[in-house]
Amino acid sequence: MNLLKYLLLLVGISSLTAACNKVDLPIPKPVEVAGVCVFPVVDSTAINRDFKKTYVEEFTGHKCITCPANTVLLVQQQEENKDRVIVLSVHAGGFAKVDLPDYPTDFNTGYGTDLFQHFNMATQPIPSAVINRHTFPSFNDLLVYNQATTFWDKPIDEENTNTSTDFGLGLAAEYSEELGNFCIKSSIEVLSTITGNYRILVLCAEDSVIAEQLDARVSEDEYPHKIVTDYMHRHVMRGKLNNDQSINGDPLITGTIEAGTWIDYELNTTMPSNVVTAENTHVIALIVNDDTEEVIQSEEVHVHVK
Amino acid sequence: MKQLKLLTSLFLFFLVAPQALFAQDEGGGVFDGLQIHGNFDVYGQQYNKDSIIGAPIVPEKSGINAFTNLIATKGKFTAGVRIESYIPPVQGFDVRYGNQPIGVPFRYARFAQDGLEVTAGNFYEQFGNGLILRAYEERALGIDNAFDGVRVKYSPYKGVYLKALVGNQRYYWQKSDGIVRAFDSEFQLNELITKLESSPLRVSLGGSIVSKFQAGGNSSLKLPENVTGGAGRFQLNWKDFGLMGEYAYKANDPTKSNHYIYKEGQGIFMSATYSRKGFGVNISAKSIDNMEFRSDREAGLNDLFINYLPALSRQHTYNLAATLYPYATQPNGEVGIQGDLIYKIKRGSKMGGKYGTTIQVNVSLINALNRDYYTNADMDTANALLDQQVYLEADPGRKGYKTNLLNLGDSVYYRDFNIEIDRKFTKHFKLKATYAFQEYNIALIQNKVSPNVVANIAVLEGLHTIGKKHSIRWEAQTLFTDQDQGDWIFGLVEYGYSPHWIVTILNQYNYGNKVEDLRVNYPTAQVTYIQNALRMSIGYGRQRAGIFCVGGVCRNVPAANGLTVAITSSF
Repeated sequence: MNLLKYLLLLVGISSLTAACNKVDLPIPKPVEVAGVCVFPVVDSTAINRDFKKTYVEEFTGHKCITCPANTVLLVQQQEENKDRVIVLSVHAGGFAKVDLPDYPTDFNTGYGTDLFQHFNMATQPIPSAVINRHTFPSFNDLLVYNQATTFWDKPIDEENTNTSTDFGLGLAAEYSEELGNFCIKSSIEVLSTITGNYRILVLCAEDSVIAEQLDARVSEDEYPHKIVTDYMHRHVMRGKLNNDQSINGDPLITGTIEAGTWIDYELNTTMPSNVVTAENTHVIALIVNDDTEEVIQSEEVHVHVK
Repeated sequence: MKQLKLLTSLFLFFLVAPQALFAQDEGGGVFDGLQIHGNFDVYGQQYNKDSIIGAPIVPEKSGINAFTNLIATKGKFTAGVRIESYIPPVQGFDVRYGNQPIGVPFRYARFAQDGLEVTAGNFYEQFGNGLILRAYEERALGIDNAFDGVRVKYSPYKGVYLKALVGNQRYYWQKSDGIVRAFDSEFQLNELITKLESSPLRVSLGGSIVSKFQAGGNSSLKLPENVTGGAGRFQLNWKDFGLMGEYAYKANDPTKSNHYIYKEGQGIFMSATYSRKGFGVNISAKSIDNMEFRSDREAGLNDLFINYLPALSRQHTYNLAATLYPYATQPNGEVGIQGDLIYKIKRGSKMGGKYGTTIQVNVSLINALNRDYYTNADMDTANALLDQQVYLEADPGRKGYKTNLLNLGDSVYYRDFNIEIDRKFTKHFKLKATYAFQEYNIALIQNKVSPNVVANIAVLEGLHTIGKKHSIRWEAQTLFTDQDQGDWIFGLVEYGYSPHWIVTILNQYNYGNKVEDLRVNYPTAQVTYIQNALRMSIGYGRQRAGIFCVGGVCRNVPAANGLTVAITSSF
């Protein structure tokens, strides 16, 4: 009887001390509603703070017969510098026109055409490339590089040697196929105190798009008129995602900003209608000096499709 | 106001205490049978400017830590107070002790009768090995996580020992926000079961439950306000063998140090011993995961620990081995094993010599616990994502990572192999030789950007006695390493004039430092006087920056140059 009494006492005291709250869901799962973004998490530890990345805009077109051979070289250079080089193929101008029945695919975009005109590409051979939208004194101080100038690989190599940057740029993008929400978040760390006007430009690219392409390298026996109907187009620009009409994107910084400051930029948008496969899309964010129009930092992420 | 009341009470206490003693002598009065005893401990340092060793500039030029315990007993009653003063705290102790120059942070009253003991006020406590609860004072580390509340101990039946407590923990001069409630039971089967009374197999079983409450606050997370942990333990002894073990579990306990994950914590500790005359061996093993248990989820450093995780590394006593690369237990996860062997070679034998030789070998191996993060990222990235406190699709429950207690990681936290040979050569001369090999994860333990330190340490200690009153003890130590501060050498000579005086001179020299300007000598001289329970010492010299650890818990010791005074006594 005594033992029972003590056991009861033991159980009684234990129950007094054993208060515990079990939490299964510390943060409720955000409810997603069409048109309302749940912005993705930017991994702040993975941000590049060591150098300025090399952003290359390649101007091309499906009717450009020499373009595929040059694209191969660019893609190869990017593969060799995966952590540094970002490539965007801009289809614009005469070589990018839709011409039925052989060239039915329309790769043109409004922003691509704006850029084509902005850089006066009509006067340049195609393909041409612009690297971080600035000139290179070591290579005749040009803005646009192609086979008629020093080829673009040299300025790209030079740009890849830089070892500092004023901005750390983090980027994350999520697309909900069901709701149509395309939610992009960028977290920017200011690494040194700077003064000026800066904008953020957000672009959408689609990789591995299968469509026609004129290609000098193939035999006519295999591809009549050298039109490769199942050509894989790489890093195709699908559009500008910012709402601002400026060619340099949305305003980000005006005046002086202290080192150590973090800026969050969120974009609630829709997937461009010309995208064929959402799983193959990427988002590219650029910080552009609005005064010089130079790209001073860039980042690219694969879009997480839900 | 509260402190004023306490000091008034103390004053009255001192006022009546002599009368009580007087009454005792006369053999009558209210205070008949009252006994008062206590102790005091004063440590003071004076600081000179010494930039070459990196000594911090102390505007006050000195620091003093002083403690006085007064304990009064009368029959079944005991009451005590501890007066502490920090004017200001000695360098290396938390500056928050200096928030109040003097005060009474510890006071209690206790009543004991017929197996029942009730303590009101402050008290220390430990359940089992401490895996789930240990409140203790380690003055040398500046640790005091005493409870302030009520504790009841009761033995309702022979062999059954129950403890229950509730209280807040000491947080420097304040109390923690969290309330701790705990219960422990221990069953000594050989006492409980009459038939086992004379059995050579001695069995003890125990179990504990500990719960803390802390309000949720304004976090974006839904925090568990009540967190419970529990532990079960056993101890078996059979003739020369001993085996003990304890397993502890803690429910979801998001804290600042674990990046607010809601994963359960677990820990296991096992120890096996065999000993007979002249030979002893012990093997201990431990694996812990997310077992930092504090009464405040925001607390850091050594503050407000409810539990204690036993160390599996040898507590070295020689200066270079003890203070340059001592291991600190990693409560968020580690796996370790330690072996100790002691063998005494018989006196008079060929190997043992005329007076015998003792050999001691110790090995500690401690590694990380491997973790698989739900976010498929490395530790830093995963923690950064958790720190953003947003909903993570890959880990909606914020469990952080998956592991189990046997999931040994590759990362080496600590290695220590040491051997000590102690031999008395003549009636007047004794020599001890020690060698230690250590590998130490300095990046983890000291936050230094460096690969693991690999150190070889050799020590020779001699003791000469000259007649009955005079003795000379000397130490020669050296530490070789290619990492951190490079090689060190240490020498000490100590003259003892029994029974009162000890004079010590020592120096350590960082001759292998890669930076030539930092190849510095640290000379110190000290005189100690001992008279019964009184011990006073005064020293002057340089103190090297280092780490001081007790039982795997450590504090930084800053460099200093100046005078030191230490006085301890009891009455």
